[in-house]
Amino acid sequence: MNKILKYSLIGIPFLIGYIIFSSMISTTQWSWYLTRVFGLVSFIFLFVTIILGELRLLSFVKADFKLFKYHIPISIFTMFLVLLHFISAVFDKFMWGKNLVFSDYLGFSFSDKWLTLLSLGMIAFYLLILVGMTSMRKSIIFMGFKRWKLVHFFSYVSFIFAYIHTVNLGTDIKTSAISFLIKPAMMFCFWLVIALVLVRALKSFNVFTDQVEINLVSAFFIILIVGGVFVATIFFSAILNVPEDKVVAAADVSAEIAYYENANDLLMNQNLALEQKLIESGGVNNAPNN
Amino acid sequence: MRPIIRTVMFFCMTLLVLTYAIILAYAADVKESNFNKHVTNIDKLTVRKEDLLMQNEQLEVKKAALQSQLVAQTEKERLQKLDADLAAAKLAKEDLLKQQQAILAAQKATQTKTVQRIQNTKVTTTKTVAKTVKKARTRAS
Repeated sequence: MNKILKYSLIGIPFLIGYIIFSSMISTTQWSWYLTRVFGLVSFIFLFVTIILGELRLLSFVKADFKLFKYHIPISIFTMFLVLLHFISAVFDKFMWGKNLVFSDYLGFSFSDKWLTLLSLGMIAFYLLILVGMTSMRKSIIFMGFKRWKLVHFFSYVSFIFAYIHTVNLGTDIKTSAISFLIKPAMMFCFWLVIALVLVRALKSFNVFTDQVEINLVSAFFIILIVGGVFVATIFFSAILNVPEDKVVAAADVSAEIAYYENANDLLMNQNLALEQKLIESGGVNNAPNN
Repeated sequence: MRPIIRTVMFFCMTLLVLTYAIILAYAADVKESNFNKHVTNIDKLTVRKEDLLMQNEQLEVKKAALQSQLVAQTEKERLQKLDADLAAAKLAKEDLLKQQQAILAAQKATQTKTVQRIQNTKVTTTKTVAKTVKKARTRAS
């Protein structure tokens, strides 16, 4: 209870201040920048939260994984970052939020692709809140461990929705100058989690006898899935690759060919008419033949 | 760790990495051949364009030659026509001269006859006058 009070005393005034600040900069580009930054950072923190939980579960002796003590603080901080991302997006009247109303941000708008992706992000946030609220000690005792564990699986669903939302709407991932770095990094994060989830599923059948086996199988699955995704991406981009500059150059030459074909047809007709005229006038055609 | 797991895992990972390497090599090859295909296509199109450009130049030259020949032919025709007109004019002139000479000759002949007639009339008149004078003298004497 003390922790909740401590977090509330720090967090709530900060959030109120941030709401006032966001409303002040809502028409400037800063609101858009803050939305992007908080979105990106909150995804990274969500990944770290999930990977910490995952690595603990992949530890042969769970208590040996010391970094797990950061799982809860980082997950609370992630929720806080997602909330800042949400506030920045709602107050943004510079870029994305210009044509949106508040109800569009609530996760129930699926009228077009863009709004659906936006709503996926919001649903991911709701699931995070659900997972967070049920992860308090009293909630776990109230629900029972098995039910809590089932609810906790929603963090994966939240992560998947957050990934779809981030990859499809994130400006920094799609079009920024550093997208060539961020996009593979995001893909790596996502598929790494998927690979580790598969190893975790395998571990639940008690097939491993020590940590080395778990590590080896994890390495195999990481190479299989993460490597497979990257190799497949590179393969299909190479297969479907169209050198745009060459296509444009070919189109330019084709246009010139069409021009000269027409011009030559016209000249041939003109020359035929001239030859006819020359023959009619009794002249001798001494012009060079083509 | 069980040796069988270690062996299988290392074997699988090696196989996987090799498979990825082969796929990436194939992808690089496909990308290069795709690129080369486009380059070859551009080369073919460029050759075709060069051919057409050359043909265009030849046709322009032929057109210029035909046009100059036609101009020369037209000039020749004009000169021929002028020559024909001149010849016809000369013939007409000769005809006119002949006609004029004939008229002059006819006029001269008529004039000669008239002079002859006048001379004859004069001689007759002189004779008549002389006869009359003689008769008058005879009568007077």
